[in-house]
Amino acid sequence: MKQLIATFHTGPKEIHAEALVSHKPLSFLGGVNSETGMIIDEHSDIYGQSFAGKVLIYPFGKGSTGDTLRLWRSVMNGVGPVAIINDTPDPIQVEGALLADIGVLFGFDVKPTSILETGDILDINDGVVTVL
Amino acid sequence: MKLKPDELRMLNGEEGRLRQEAMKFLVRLGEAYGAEEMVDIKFSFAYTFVLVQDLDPDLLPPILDRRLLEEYIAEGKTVKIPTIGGLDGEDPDIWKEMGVPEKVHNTYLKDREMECKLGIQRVGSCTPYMVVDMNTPALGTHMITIESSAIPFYNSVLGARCERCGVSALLAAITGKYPAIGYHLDENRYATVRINVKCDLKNMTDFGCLGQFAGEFCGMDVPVFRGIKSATNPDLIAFSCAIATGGAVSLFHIPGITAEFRTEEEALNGKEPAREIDFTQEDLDKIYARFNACDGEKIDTVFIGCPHLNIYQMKDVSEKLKAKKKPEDLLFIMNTNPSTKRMAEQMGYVDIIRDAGAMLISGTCPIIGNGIPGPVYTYTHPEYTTGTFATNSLKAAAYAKSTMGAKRVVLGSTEECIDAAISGVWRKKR
Repeated sequence: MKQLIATFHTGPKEIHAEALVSHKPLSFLGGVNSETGMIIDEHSDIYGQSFAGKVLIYPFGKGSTGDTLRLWRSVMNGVGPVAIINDTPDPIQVEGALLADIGVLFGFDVKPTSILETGDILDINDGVVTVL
Repeated sequence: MKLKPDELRMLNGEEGRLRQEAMKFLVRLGEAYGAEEMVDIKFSFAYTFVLVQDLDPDLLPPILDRRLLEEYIAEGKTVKIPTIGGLDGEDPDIWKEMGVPEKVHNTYLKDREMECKLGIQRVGSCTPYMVVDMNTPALGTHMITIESSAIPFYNSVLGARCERCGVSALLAAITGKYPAIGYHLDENRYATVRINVKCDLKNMTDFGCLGQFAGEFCGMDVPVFRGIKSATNPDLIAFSCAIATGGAVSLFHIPGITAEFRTEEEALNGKEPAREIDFTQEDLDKIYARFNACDGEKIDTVFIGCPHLNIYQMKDVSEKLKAKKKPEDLLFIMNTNPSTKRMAEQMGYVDIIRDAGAMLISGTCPIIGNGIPGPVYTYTHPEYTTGTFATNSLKAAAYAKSTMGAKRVVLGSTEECIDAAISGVWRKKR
């Protein structure tokens, strides 16, 4: 059973959702459509997929400071992720997650992007991520 | 988090609702990162809103609610610390010419008024260090900036201390506080990776390409560089822009050029780099090759001034444009800030630029505004396009398709861009 423990985590204590994993850094500007929750960057390994209702897992965020509000907006539109999990968190996107009250988890012993896979069903409880 | 009396006062609501909400958010952010305490922020570069293209300005999160800001102003409060801002969604001098709808223009007027009432000095530039200096010397100063391209410049070239942030820039201006995390702490400021530059960097565009490469290699790591012989401020600004575009690098060290460490050993804190990579002529050529849509073909749009042109760049460009004129159907956009535009007007550069047919836009940014003026204005219009788009800015090239309606993108030197703006055709020189 795969399990990871986050040193830092905030947001809802219990989350149960499917994982969407990218191995590339994510920029919302130019990379995400906040109205639809779709990945629109052709160079992304999750291009064309939707993170709506999923746990979005990626190495780190990059690019524009406006991504705080772009992430928040996607959640307000009902198409946002329920949590983000990063190898290294970008404060810009952490701020967006805080504004939107979704989960943020980071500070693991191993890189979550090397353990978790798209389609994994995750049970997150107080910072402990278990793959069911 | 251990909070000081002045922080607790704000958190308890003794200084009004906005400061209380701001402190609550900053404490949550601090707790998310395991911060032990807050730092006092001495300088902020903030926007009261982030005019992103896909947001309705009337729909902002509660913490940025205009009514909360208006209540704060009505209480007679302003920002607590020296704060600059004023990057607009339009150039107020030529908003009609830019085709900004009146309703949108009126929103900008209200926001401008609010910034002034808050005591924010409206520098109107993404490169304020080219216009107005911080009140406090930069080295070691805890500060905050919402401009992503400025974060690495403030941290690295000026030796200040700031983190990548979103709404926190305004909240720090309101409270004078930010959690003690990331680059505010000594232990996070050392380099952990090294990049060995093995080719000549001839101009700011070359530096932009190195920035993109470095951003991709580093991710969020702090690099130290070898082999960069010299750099002007525009080179370092272009580099900062690009490294924050290609990755999420907030701090880099070029011993002998950047402020904090005098030697590579100091930058690495006496350790070996965890990773290293060479940057060769071939690597440089490969970055250019990504934005190599055409050679010898017609250009629709030439875009320079990302980030904003400084006065010497304005002089240089006006000398190249003297007595020249662009083709009728080509869109030639140049960007600067209001203070530089005033100086350039006095020097006669603006007349030359306008006579050549260029649109000089000041105090705004197409990435946060409504796109760039063209045959059809605002990027959300289905027919909005800037066609084959040429620029000397790596950041602009990277965002041209997704935010500025470009169909094809070419990246080249300032000289190549100006030649293309006059001839209407892209001709590669390198």
